[in-house]
Parts: sequence; structure tokens; C-alpha cells
Amino acid sequence: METNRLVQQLREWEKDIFEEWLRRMRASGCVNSRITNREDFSRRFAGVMAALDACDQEPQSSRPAQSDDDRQCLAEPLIDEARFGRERGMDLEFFLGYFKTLISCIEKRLIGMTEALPRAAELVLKLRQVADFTELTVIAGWRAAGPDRTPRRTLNSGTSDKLLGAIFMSVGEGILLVDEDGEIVRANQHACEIYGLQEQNIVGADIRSLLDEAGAGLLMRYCAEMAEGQRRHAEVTCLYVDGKTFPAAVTVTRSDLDGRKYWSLIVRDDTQQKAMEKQLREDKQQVEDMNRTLKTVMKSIEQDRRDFESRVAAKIKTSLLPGLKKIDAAAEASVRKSYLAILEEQLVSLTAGFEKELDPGLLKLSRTEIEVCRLIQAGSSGKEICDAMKLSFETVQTHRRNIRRKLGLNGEKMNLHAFLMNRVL
Amino acid sequence: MWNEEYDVVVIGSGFAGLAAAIEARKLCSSVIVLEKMAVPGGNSTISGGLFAAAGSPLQARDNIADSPELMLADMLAAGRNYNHRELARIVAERSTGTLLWTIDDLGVKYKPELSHLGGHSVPRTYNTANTSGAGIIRPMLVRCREMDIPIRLKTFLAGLIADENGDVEGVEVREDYIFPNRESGVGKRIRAKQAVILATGGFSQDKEFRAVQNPMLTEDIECTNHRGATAESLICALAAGATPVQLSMIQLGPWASRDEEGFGVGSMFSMLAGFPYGILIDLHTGERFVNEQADRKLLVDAMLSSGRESIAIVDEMGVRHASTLEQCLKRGVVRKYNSIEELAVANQVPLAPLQATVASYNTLVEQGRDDRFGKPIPRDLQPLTHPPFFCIRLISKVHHCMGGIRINAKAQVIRMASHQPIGRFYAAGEIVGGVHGASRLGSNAIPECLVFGRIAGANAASETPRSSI
Repeated sequence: METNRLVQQLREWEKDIFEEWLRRMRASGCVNSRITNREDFSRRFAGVMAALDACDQEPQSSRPAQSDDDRQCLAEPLIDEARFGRERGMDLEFFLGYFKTLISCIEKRLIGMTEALPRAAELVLKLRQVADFTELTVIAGWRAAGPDRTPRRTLNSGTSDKLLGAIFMSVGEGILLVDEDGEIVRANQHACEIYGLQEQNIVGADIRSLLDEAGAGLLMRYCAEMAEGQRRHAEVTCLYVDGKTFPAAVTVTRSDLDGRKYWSLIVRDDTQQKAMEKQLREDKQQVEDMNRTLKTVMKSIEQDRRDFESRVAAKIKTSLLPGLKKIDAAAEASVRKSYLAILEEQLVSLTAGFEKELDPGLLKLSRTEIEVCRLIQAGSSGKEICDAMKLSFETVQTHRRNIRRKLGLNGEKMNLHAFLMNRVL
Repeated sequence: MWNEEYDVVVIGSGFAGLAAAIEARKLCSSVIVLEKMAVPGGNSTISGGLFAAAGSPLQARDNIADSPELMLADMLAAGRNYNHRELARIVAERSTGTLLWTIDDLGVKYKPELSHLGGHSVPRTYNTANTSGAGIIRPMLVRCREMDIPIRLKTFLAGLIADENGDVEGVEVREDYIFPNRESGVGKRIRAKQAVILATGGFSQDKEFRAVQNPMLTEDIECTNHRGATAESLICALAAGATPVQLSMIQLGPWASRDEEGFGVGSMFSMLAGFPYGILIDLHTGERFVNEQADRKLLVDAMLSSGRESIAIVDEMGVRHASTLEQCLKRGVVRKYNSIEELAVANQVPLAPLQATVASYNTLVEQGRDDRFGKPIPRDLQPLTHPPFFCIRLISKVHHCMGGIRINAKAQVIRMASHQPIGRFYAAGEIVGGVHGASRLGSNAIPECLVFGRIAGANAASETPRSSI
């Protein structure tokens, strides 16, 4: 009867035990409101209580559960629970963790009571027997049945999942896990952001819906051709949620998990990369264009140089040499001086790089014409020239016309005074 | 003082926010959408994509008599008359017009069959072709891109900024915010020349805030929403003087699967097949206990009472309506059994009572008798006689916040102190309270979000612009 009371007491403590159990599960990072909910817990707790009750009702209560059959009977509700949990995608490790934590929480309560109630110690032993047997049976049953008899929730169990989960979340690239149907079964946060989709939208979607037609075809071909562990790289066009397209680099790896084929896609949004590449290409193009322009400029400079040389040669031949002859022939010293000044100026310009315009026309001028030019250059009016040179106005006008002709100014709007300003006479 | 300036600033990129942005952009030259998460679409894009419309083309085709009045009556009945009737009426009246807008203007594709969801008098629910809210969100995002509406992600609303008259003039945000780290991001002030529209959704994932409103919703109760469905923006709105409405009205979804997280693929299985074409069973007794087609509140209350563990069972005929079946089977959310016996063993349901339950349900359906739980027995309902049988394990998950802030028919946010609109401040979507009262009918959220989103957008962009700074 004492046992009965103890079990009753435990039942009353269910809520406390649940909370302690939940705290411990949480501490080991095993809390998931779907699996560690109160209802399931209550059923399992009730199972343990029923087993303890049953112990007490055994005829030889001092030696409970001797035979396997007896023990089988005791552990039955708990084994059922294990089976049930397994069908819901729990793995063995998780169930045992769940179960052992539960047993340990109950045990702790019982040990707390041993001082007051000696039967409590006995009950602890029974509890351990039931627990051990349950564990053994569950483990044996779990293995015997094999892992794949019931379809598990896709990849949602086991350590591979935990590992994947951790990697998934920590990676700064988009990762998609695709199954044999082309369905996305997992996606990390970054992948969601790349496509502008929530995890709930992206998981379950067809991978092809994230790509343009060409990209989808290419990727499907890669997936079909690849052997396990192989890796391939593709550059494809992807679709953002608002229909905008963007370039992406995708690395596909086939990895077989739990006997199924999966392809992991590492996706990188290449918009920035492509923009940079484009910028680089444009920069390169620009440099090439400049190069080409420079070459042309160099060539034309070279041409200019040649032209210049031949011009100089021609000028020496046509202007300077006849000038020298004129000097030679000139009788008057002032005229010779004038020709010499022109020649000197011309020679200086040839070597000094033409600061002033070289005007071979000047050398064609006659002595009188040069005199008229000097006066024009000095700013004299027509009448002043007439007076200075003692010439009639008509004669001066004729000289002016001839000067213009020889200097090639006929028909030009150029004023003679302005033209002569920069020239040495 | 201001870092940027737009005509209209929309906060939130779900149904309501995008609808508001699209309508606003038609009338003004610059609209920006701010979104705190790293991807757009919020809860809308992971929802089931169900759209209730009264008097729709498919109803006309199928000779289903319906009207906005009937839809309103259904909303009030489910909402236990807690509804702000004027707002509910607008949703019912504009449901079909808005549905047609999504089809004709956005190019949204729907399945060619209507669904009959619990609490609705008639089948009036359109399903997006891909069985997801993304079927509407994606075309809206495409439209935003075409209309040159930027959607700035990772931008968190830190506060609403009022001008000297108390009108909303802009928002304080944190850019490059990393949810849920409140310290992350860089502060910035964005000015709205015309108005600010709050379309930030509900707070079902905010375990602390929801437990304050309804202490029964402890943290171990799961949730169908995306992680970002938290209460910060609601708190901003209240701080700015908005009127809180029925914040403790928080809906649980009775159809969610115990074997997956969040909304998943199981919820749609239950909604489209398990409940309308199957039966809901108490795992421990093997008996039915509720009208499977009741509204969500009734179902959840029945399921939670006396700690029931429930499963929904449907046969091969009924399962044809489940558009997510393949994914459910693949993920182990729905299981397939060749016989009721096999199903009973695998799920630990007592066999004899289960057989009796199925038999009496079948008799009921065959003879067209009234169900004692009040399940409507339409003529085309088939008895559960065609193996294989499909079964989903259910658990209630927090799904929708009926409560929120108060708006008027123009979607203007109402100041608590004065009962007058807060100037240049609009709200739409789940952040708004009162439309659905005590219980929202399934497939009524999308029309609500789109109807008031569009109203808010058009009205916000019609405000007289402030002069530029």
C-alpha cells in the first residue's frame, strides 16, 4: 500500500517533474515544443507510473518482474511510446535522452523520500529495472526494424541534421539542398535573402522556379550527370521574387545522405561581381582606346616632323637661298641690312620652333615695298607714307596692292598693319 | 533634420502595405515601402492564399447565391458581434471588386474551384493557383518594381514623428537592421510629405506581448506566423496616440499539424480536405466532438477543452481537394493507411469506437440527416468509404490577431484621446483591430488587407502635400 501512496504522490508531482524535466532538456539543447510538449510527456509519465503500479500488483511483490515476460508486460506502454515517437521522426538517441531524463527526474523525487518512507528505495530499484528493460527493448527494436521502415520527416532527424543546421546558418553564402524531385528541402538564411523568399516559401519549391530556363536546364543536366561527391560550377541567371533577374555563380555538389541523393547548391549573387567585371572591361577598353589614340597621335607627330623637315628644306631652297642671292646683288647697305634681318629672323624661327610665323612671302618683297611695310608696321597713315617716301598716293597704293599679293593676302580680310605686327622686317 | 523625403511612406510589405503602395503611387510621384525583415512579403507570402469574395464569378458559374450582406452576417456571427460593423461591411462589399482587381490588374491566378471554409454559409473562397499567399504577393512585388516603388528591406520602424499640429510627419527608422536585434542598424529620419501608412501585421510571434493580452497563450504554444510578426510597430502606434482595440482577441488555428513547425503544408490540408470532407476525432475516445466546419474559435475551444488530442481523417474521395497532399505525405505531416484498422493502430486510437464513429458519420451523410454537432451536410458530401485513408495530427497554433488599432472607413488612424483621426496617419491589414471581432473567418484576411490597403493608399496620396524642405 505504501508503494501505491508513493506512486500517487509522484502523480501529484507530475507538473513539477515536467518542469524540471523540461529545464534539463532545455539545458541540453533538446527542446522543441513539438516533441517535448506536455501532452506527450504526460502520456509517457503515465506509462512509467503504470509500470510502477504494476510492479506492486505482482503477486510476489518482493521480487517483481522476474521473467522476461513479466518485464515485457511492465515496459509495454513505454515501448509503445518509443515506437510512437519513432514513427514521428524521433531518433533513438533523442528518445533515450528524453526517457533517461524522465526516469532521472522521477528517481530524484523518490530518493528525496527514502528517509521518510523506506519503500521508496525499493521503488527506485524497480524504476531502474523497468527503465533498463525498456531501454534494452527499445534499442533492440529500433535496430532490428532498421532505420528506413517508416519514412522519416525529410532530413529532420539525427546528427547529420544538426551538423547541417549549424553549417547552414553560419555560412555567408546561399545554400540550397535539393532532393531527387528537384524540390528544395533546406535553405539557409542567406539563400532566402538572395531570392527574397521566406524559408517557408523556398522550402518545398522546385529549384527550377528560381532560375531562368537556360539555367534550370543546365543545372538539371549537371545534377543528372554528377556522381556522388562530384562538384561542378555554373554561371546562371536567377530570379528575385519581384521578377528581377540577377547573375549568380552556383557550385553544385552531390552528397548522398541517409541513402538518398541530395544536391547542395552554393549560390552567390554575382550582381556586384558582374558589375565590377563590367567596370573592369570598360576600363580596359578605355585604356586600349587611349593607347590607340596615342599611337595615332605619335604617328601624326612623326608625320608632322617629316613634313616639317621637308618644308624646311623646301623653304631653304625657295626662300633663303634666293634671299641670299638678293643680298649679294643688293647695292645699298640699308637694303642688304633689311634682307639680312629678314633672313636672320627666318633662320631663328627655323631653329627656335616657329614662335613667330615664318613668312617666306616677306623675302619676295622689293626694297621699296619693304620700306612701305616698315612704315605701315610703324602705324603711319597713307599720307604720312607718301610724305616720307616722297611718292604719290597712287604709287603707294600700287605698292600696297603688290605687297598684299606677294604676301598672299589678296581676298583675305586681313588688315596689312595687323599682319605685319608680328613680323620682323 | 530629415535624411530623406517621400510623398507617402508605407511600413510593411505584406498584402496591405503593397496594396497601399500601388494605389498611392498612382496618385503621387514617390512612395517607399519599409520592411524590417531581410525578405519582403511578411506573413502574407506564407499564408494559404485563400480569398473570400461574396458574389464572385465562380459563385455565379456554380449557381451559389451569395451577397455582401450574407458575408457580413457570417463575419458578425463568427466575431460574436465584437466586430466594428462599418469596417466589416466595407470588406464584405468590396471583396469581389478587390478579387477582380487582383485578377484583371495584377494577373493573379486562382484555381477554378471554390472552397467552403468553416463558418461561411456558402462556398465563397478562391484559392491561389500555387496554394500560397505568394501567388498574390509576387505579382504585387513585380508591380512595385514596374511602378518604381522601392522596397527597402532590413529597415525597422523605431518611432512615428509628429509635427507641431500633432499630425504624423515622418518616421524614425533603423536601417540595416538585423531582426530581432534592437541595437542593430543605423538611425535615420524619413519624412512623408503626404502621409504615413502603417501596414505591419499582427503580433502572434510576440510571445511576451501576446501573453500580456491573453495569459493563456504561454510561450510553448506554437505559432503559424513568420518570425517577424511582433508587436513593436503596434507599440509605436499606441505611443503616437492610436486607439487600441480588442488586443486580447488572438486567434489560434485549429488545423495546424503537430508534425511540422509553423503554418507549414498541413494547415491547408486540414482546411481544404480534412475538415470539410473528413472528420475530426478525439484520439483518446475515437469519437467526433465538434462541427468540423465551425469557425476557428469554436473548433479551438472544443479541441483545447479537456486536453484533447485530435486527428482529422479523410478518405480518398475527400483528399482530392487537398492541394498540398503530396508535400504533406513527403514531409510525414499526413499519413496514408489502407484501412481504418491500420490507421487506428498506428495512431493509438481505440478501434471499436473509431469504427462506430465512422459508421455513424457515413450513415448521416448517406441519409442527409442533421448532424448533432451541426456540421452542414451538402449534397455532394461523400461518406468515408473509399480507402486509403489519410490522417493528420493536429495542434492549435497562434495564428491571427483580430485586435489592433482603430481606424475609420477611410483607413485613418483614430486618436484615443479625441476620437478624431490623427492627421496624415493611415493603417491597414492585421495591425487594424475590430474588423473580425472575436474570431476571423478563414480566407477573410486577404480581402481585409487588400481592401483597406487600397483605401489607405488612395487616401494617403490625396492629402495636400507639405512643401519640401
